[in-house]
Amino acid sequence: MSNINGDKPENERFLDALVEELRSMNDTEALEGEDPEELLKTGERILQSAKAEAGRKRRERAKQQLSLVAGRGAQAFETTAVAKARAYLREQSSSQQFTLAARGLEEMSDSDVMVLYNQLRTLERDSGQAGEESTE
Amino acid sequence: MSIPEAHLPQSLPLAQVLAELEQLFRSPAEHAKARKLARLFASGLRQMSHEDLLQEAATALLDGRRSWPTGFHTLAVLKGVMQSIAYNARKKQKRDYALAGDLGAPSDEDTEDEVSDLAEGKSPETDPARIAEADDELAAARRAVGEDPQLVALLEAMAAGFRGKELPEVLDMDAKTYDAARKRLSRRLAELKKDRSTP
Repeated sequence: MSNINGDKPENERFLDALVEELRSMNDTEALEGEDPEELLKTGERILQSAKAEAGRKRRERAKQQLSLVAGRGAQAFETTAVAKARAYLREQSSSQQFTLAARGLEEMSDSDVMVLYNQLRTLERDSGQAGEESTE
Repeated sequence: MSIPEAHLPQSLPLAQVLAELEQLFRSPAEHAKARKLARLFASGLRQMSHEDLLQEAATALLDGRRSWPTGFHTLAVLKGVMQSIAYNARKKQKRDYALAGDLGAPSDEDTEDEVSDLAEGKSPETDPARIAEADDELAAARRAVGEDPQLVALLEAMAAGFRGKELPEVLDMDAKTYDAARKRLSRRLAELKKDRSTP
């Protein structure tokens, strides 16, 4: 038999031809050997099960996406916090208020930046409180 | 180079996918056609009946894992989805067989048949019946038609790419003979999975 459609594997060509045969089949032929009542019942069961399962999978996916978005939100918040802390430390290093080893600031890890930032803020608060107390 | 938007395949919205599937499963004749196709794809699958396959395909279309390109007939869409599911199931089945063969012992998922085969010393990798079961759909159809010369010729013509009205012409069959051959093919394909699908 000659190959009139060489771009597709023969299994694909067979399946395409079979689908076409099925599509053109009349109802009597399609129902040969089948029980229409039973098909109706089975069809409804398949449909309802597929709908329920698809709903469950969609909900699961939505939950996963939600937790991903929440995770990304937390990460974004952290990135912003570190950037703000660096900017603050950079600003403070140029002022004369604190003695800060600013030269290494750009090489510092994010966690070191956050430790230093928190220390500085605590120091600021403490010195602010001390100032208030001494003026009282 | 980007593809112009007008040329991108469009998918049916979920509500329409559901409507198409309802139409299929609530029409005994259309459902019967889909089952014929499902039986062919499920033949050789030991963990999945044709009904499981149909349900899994409907689920994949409804939960958005598989899209329904606009303008495609239900049977053509189901063909693509079921073929993909069956292909993956066959691949898993082959892996499980190979693993069971390597270990020399059945896995938890082995069915009673597999257990008895292994007990008899048959290796899944070398057992021709097992290898044949994992073939593609055309191979399953070829086994189903056996040596019926008209059906063998019909299958080969389909595999060569002939369709619809071309088939009786290329096979040199009159309408009555071709119709009878078509019905015989349909019956043989319907018998493919019956023994395994009914509990």
